[in-house]
Amino acid sequence: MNLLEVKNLKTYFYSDAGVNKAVNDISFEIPKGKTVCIVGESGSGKSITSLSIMGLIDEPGKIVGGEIIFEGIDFLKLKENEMRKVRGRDVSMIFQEPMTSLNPSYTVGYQIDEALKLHQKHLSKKERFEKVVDSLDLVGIPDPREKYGEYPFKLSGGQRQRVMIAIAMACEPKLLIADEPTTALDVTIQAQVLDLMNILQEKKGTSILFITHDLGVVSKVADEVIVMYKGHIVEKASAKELFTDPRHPYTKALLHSIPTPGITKRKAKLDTVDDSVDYLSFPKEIR
Amino acid sequence: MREFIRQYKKNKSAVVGFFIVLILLTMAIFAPFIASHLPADQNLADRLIPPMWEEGGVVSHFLGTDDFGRDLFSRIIYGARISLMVGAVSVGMSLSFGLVMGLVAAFYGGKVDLFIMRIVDIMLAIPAILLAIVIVSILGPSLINAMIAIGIVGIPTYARVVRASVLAEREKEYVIASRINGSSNLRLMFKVILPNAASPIIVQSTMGFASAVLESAGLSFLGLGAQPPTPEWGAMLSDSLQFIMTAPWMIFYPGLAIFFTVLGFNLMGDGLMDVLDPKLKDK
Amino acid sequence: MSDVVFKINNLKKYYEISLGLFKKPKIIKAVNDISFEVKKGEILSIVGESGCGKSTTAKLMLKIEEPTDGTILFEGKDITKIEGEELREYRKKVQIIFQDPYSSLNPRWKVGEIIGEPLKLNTKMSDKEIKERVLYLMEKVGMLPEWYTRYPHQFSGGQRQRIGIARALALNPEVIVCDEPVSALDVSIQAQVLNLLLDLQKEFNLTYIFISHDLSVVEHISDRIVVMYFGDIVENADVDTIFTHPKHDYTKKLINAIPVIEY
Repeated sequence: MNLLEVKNLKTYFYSDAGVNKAVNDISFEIPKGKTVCIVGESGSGKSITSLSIMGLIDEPGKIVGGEIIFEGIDFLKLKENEMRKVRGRDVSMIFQEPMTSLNPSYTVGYQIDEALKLHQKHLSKKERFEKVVDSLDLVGIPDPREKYGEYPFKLSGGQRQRVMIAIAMACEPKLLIADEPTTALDVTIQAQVLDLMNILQEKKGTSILFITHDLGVVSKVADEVIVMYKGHIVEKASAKELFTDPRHPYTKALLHSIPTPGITKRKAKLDTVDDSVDYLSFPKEIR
Repeated sequence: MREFIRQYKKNKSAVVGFFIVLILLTMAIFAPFIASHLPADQNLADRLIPPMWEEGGVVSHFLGTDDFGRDLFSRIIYGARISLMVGAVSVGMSLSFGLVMGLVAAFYGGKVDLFIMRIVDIMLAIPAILLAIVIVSILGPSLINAMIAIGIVGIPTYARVVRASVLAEREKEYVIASRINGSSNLRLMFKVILPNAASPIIVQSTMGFASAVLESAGLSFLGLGAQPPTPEWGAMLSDSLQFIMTAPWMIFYPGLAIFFTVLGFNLMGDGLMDVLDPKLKDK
Repeated sequence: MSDVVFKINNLKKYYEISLGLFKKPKIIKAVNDISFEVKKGEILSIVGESGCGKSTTAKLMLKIEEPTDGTILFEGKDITKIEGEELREYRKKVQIIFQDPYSSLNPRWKVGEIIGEPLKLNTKMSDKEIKERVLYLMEKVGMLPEWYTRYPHQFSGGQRQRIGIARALALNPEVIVCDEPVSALDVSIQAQVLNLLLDLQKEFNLTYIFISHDLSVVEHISDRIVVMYFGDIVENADVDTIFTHPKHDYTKKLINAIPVIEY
């Protein structure tokens, strides 16, 4: 059962230097209650894909083609005010830099409350307060009642990211898009946040679209994996299939270029993604 | 460089500004060839003649004459030289002192920074025109002294702009790299950091030209700047006030010249700002 | 018997944060009494998470900052108080590669100037000789000679890092401190730069002090690892021991946190 179906999505960027086909005809599905990872390097189009789904593409970018079908509705056919209702309520997003994604001038509680005010207007002030405290608790912030009145600068990076997740989850969206949420975090904090996301998925049944360049992270959270390269999908498979039997040359090159304790030989030359190889000339591996 | 020109051309008003400045430069350089008379040539028989196209005008005096029979058009053309000189000297002065002050303050920090910036604060606390008037009064009214006064008055602005710009670059790794490689402080300031801090300074200097011209006109208007018969536009304005009803062209055209000059430099400065700042930030 | 190149003893770096006129300043112990050795020809990695003091340690060793206390012995000599000619000699032998390929190169200088600067400031080589050496270094790091006159913004992150590496090699150093040299790079570029660093180490007989937070990278290239936590060294052992028999709880926590691909 698919929550989201992306069909032939094309997002281009226009400049004096020409057209940049950032996302160049990609199609994929996100099943209900599952985590799909898009993995790729910079320039692969993975972030643009997530922004396209959220309808957050501005000049000089433009979605020039395709469909984004969420529970039967094509996002690309919605007007901006209709899309605004969707954002935060059905689909929400968390970003890489918790420092800049949270508004430093408002308390943590206020920012989560804002999300509730927008999408759950029927709640009373008291009910909202309790919900905010609940969501802080849900993401593992200790002393949630006290933390309601804290400002972001008083929290650590990991805690800020948790708050971001709380804001995103406040309205219990069906789809959570996470764009490199742990890249800026220390590895021990990263582990905690990834665990949290897995727990949330179990508890709430949220589907997650997880963007990352880190294959280790992919192995921790993904059910399905999509590998992107220069705006195209070059391989699609379940996480297990991808790691045990990678097929596309780009995927293989990527896997072999990462130093992995126990797998790659110490001090040996790492395989690299070869700039001269046209990886797009190889057939796409869709499983 | 090509990329710079391309980007600059995108801003139409900036291009207009550039051409205005170009025209100004041409007027200044080729004044003897463009002007029909010498600016100080009096001809009392031909006093207060209106511009050519009005009743009573003559072809030989394109924009008419002033109360001493001097050709207005020629005086305006030669006035361009004065205005450009005023701009160049004042900005040059403000920039030289302001640059050194801002660089040293930002680079050394600590007490040096505090000390220099307090001087800047004090200078900024006094209204510019007032300070200029005081300086000129002390030195004596003349165009040169007006330029010096304007130059001095402008120093704190440049010091601040330079300081902010240098502070932003100072902690960057390429500066540390040069320092580790043995660069002397002087070299760090001028060769390593300054080229990277230049854009806001260039923009400020361009716009500074405009304000210098305006301030000089103001001082001359008050009788504290250019002295007759120097064809400085502001002085021309003040000399002509009494004739505002009888010979309005004497005020209108010098005023127009000031207006276009200030406009031209400001537009150019705006254009430069758009091109220089975002482009050089992290490509 | 390999020589000890660096011997760090009881190194401390404290920062004072002023809390106002009437309060006692807060003291941040960035580096809190650490001691360790670096042997010639080895790759010693200093790992830890943000705030552990690894970058500060690197800065102290490079004399970008002065220690609050302790000594740093380089080839037997305490370098904490040296200056002038001695400092210059030290800098020729110990160089650095920075983390951020975007801010570590002067945006207004050409590639040739950037790589040639250390030579210009520290040797009596003629311009011609400098250019020859720069081209030689560029070739060693895999750059084309025509890039000599280009500007940093014309290059990708990985290529800029190569420029930084060439610059570090200019004076023929013995030790290079690599401050998170691959952290800002894409995965596949990371691999290229790591390969390059390993090749260069063999060719020029270098000693590396490798600062990183990425344990997988560290496991791949290090001989020995020093683990830092909030200004202290919690563990110091060879790479095998760290990964198979970590002693300190924090080390274990770090290793367990690495997302490992297990299927």
